[in-house]
Parts: sequence; structure tokens; C-alpha cells
Amino acid sequence: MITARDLRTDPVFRASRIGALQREATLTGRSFAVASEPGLRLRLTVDANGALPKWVDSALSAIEDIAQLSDGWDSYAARPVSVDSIVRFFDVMNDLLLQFERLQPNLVPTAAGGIQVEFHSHGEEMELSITPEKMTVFYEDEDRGVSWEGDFNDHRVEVHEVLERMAK
Amino acid sequence: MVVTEGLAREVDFARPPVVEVALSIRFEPIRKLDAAQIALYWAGIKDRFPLIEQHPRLDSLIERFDTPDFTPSHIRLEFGESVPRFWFLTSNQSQLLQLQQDQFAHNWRKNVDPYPHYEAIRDSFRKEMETFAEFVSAQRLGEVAPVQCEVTYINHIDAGDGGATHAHVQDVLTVWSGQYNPGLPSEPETVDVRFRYLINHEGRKVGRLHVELQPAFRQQNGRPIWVLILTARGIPLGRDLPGAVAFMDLGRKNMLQTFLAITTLQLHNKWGRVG
Repeated sequence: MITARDLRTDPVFRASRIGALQREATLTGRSFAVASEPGLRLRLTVDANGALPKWVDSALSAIEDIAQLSDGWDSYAARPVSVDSIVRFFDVMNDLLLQFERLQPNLVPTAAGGIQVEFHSHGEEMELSITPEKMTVFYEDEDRGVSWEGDFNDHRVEVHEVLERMAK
Repeated sequence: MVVTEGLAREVDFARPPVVEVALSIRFEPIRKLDAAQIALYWAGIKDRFPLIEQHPRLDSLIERFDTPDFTPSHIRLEFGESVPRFWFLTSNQSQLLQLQQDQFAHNWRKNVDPYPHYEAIRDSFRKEMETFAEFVSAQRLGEVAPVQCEVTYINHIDAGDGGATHAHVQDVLTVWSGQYNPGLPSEPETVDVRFRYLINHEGRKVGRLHVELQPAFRQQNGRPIWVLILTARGIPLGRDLPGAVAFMDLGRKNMLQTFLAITTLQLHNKWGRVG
């Protein structure tokens, strides 16, 4: 709560400071609208210890785009993504995904107003389906002929193991 | 930097390097404290703080002791546009209050007035904080429940005459020898130094003292200076204003003892140390 950060006018100092904090500073304060609740904006604040994983930027851009899809976005009767689904997605980000430096999550909306987070790597596929009501997971490794699915909370350990492999 | 409370003005400086002091409290967010209410609050202090500015909201920093030193990164979602941070300034802009939904701060800045000493700034902070708490209560906005408090001192230190550069940290800090094994190709172009010290109270960790030494240049003449920032941040020693002020006193005491220990006697002499 010091004003020195605002007052400090030394260009060298300021440049080094901004450079060090650039990515987090850019993300913090970013806000986006949510089509399912007109008038509402969600604002992001990053508490970063060190640098955030690089994949976070594109994931946040994707979630912002998904949040703005309106009724019938698939040309049929798809519902806009619900705020609860978005909140659940951020819970998953914080509790699980942010600990992995190298991931390539692909975010897609579902017609029921949810979010699907897809991971593909070396023959393995995993999908987290997030809805306001529940979160489920589907996993398949065609090469090994292994697949399983169910409630996310029942498969936390397995999900973590798959992500560890994918992040290597 | 002037040594006062606890040390009972045993040490003082005729020409202290301090250029800014900030005392702040973070409290549970008061959601009803919107821009309209803040304008109403300003009306009550406008005689002392006639100038107003609007700034982006600051994030809250919380010292944690219950987890390992490494806290994972975290992205928080907040609903709705946040109310910005407001500055209320005295006419000479040497003092200001900062207010946002979860923080209140009082700053002294070296514009024209001499350094008024910690106790004067603290007492002024306490008075203004009480005024704000009374406003919150009178308007039925909630209550001001401190969860974190902070004392910050910012010092500008000349990097020296002649050929002194930002590599010569040993001119500022006692804990930096400036000695190298043979074979160093060149001195560092610049150096940033950070320390963190725990602040304990009655056998438990209650806060941290953060010390940062950063290179900078004076804008008016381009000469190199060091910016030495000391921040004591931690848990109020009670969940009320007196508890918050008690932490500030403790943090300030730690801060100035550390300041005296890590800055060189040559600088103390240059600043006109008394005692």
C-alpha cells in the first residue's frame, strides 16, 4: 500500500520492475463478460509465486471466449456456459493444473452449459467434463487398451498420474 | 530513518534518507463501500485532504506461516468490477490517505515537510483510521476487522561520489563484502538485494520484515542512487485497531534495529547520526 511504486519515476528501475512482473501484471485485473449472466463481469487476480506456466495465457483466453458464447452458439439449442462451470474450472486450475509446467489443455464448451477440458499426449486422451452439477472424467489409452471414466473426485489420483505423464 | 520508539530516541539522524513512510491495514472486504460511499467519506475529511485521485485497486499481500515457503501460484476469480483505490491528499501532497474496499493506508512523503518521525505518522494514521471506522459504522456498511497490517519505509541513498556504481553494495550494506576470488572478469553492472526476516512475538511468528535494495537514478541529475525499502507486514496482535497498531510498533522496532545493523557506519555518519 505504498505510493512509492506509483511515485517511483526512475526509468531504469521501473523498467526492470515491470519486466519482472510483466506476465502476472498483465493477467491481474483482466476481466471478462459472461453471456449466461448479462451485466456480470468476472475479474482475475493472479497470486503468482514465480512464473505461471506458459499454457495459462492461452487457457485464459479460451475461457474468456467460451464465457461469451450466447444461447444457441452451436446453431441449435446450446446453452451459454454457466458461471458455476467457470468457477469450477478455476477450482480445477488452482487445485490441480497449475502445478504442471507443460500441459496443452484444449477447452471446449458443451451444449449443456459446461466446459470440457481435453488433454492428448502420446496416444493418451483425457477429458474433464465440468458442469454446474458435477465433474466427470474420461480416460483412454488406445495403444494399451486401457480406459476408465467416472466422477472426478473418485479418480483424482489417476488424473494426477496421467497429467504427470503428459507434462513430462 | 529515525530511531525512536523502544529505543527512546537513543539514535537519531540529522539528515535521514527516508523519503516515504506508509502505514496500512488490510481488513475483510466491505462490499457496501462503493464509490458513492467513498465520496461521502471524503466529504467528511475534505478539509484536511482536499485533493482526490483514483488509482487501480491493489492486491492484498498476506504473510503465511502455516505452509512451506513455496506457495503455489493461484488465480482468483472475483465477481463484478472492483471499486478502485482512492487517494485523498493534503494540499501540499505530502500526506495522503488511500482507501479501497479492503485496505486503508496513510502515507507521509518527503515533499516539503521534514520527516515527522514514526510516532507522529502512526498517531495520525490511528486518528484517520478511527474516523474511517466510525464512518463505516454510522453508514451501516459493516465493520473494519483488520487481518493484516504493514509499515513501509522507503529510503533514497546516494550511491557515492566519483566512480561509485551500483556494483558497490558494500558501501551501503554491512553484510556485503564486495570481495571476490581472483579472476572475476568484471564487476556486476547492477545488483538487487532482498532479505526476509521473521518477526516473532511471544514465541510465535507474526510477521516478516522484507528488505529490498534496488538500483535507481535521480531524475533531476541522473546520478545513481539506491532505493532501500523496508516493509514489516504481519498479523495484527488483536483483531482491532489497537492490535493492528501494536503490530506496527513491533514491526517498526524490528525494522529500525535491522536498518541500523545492515547499513554501514559510514552512511550513519553521513546522515548525521546522533546517539
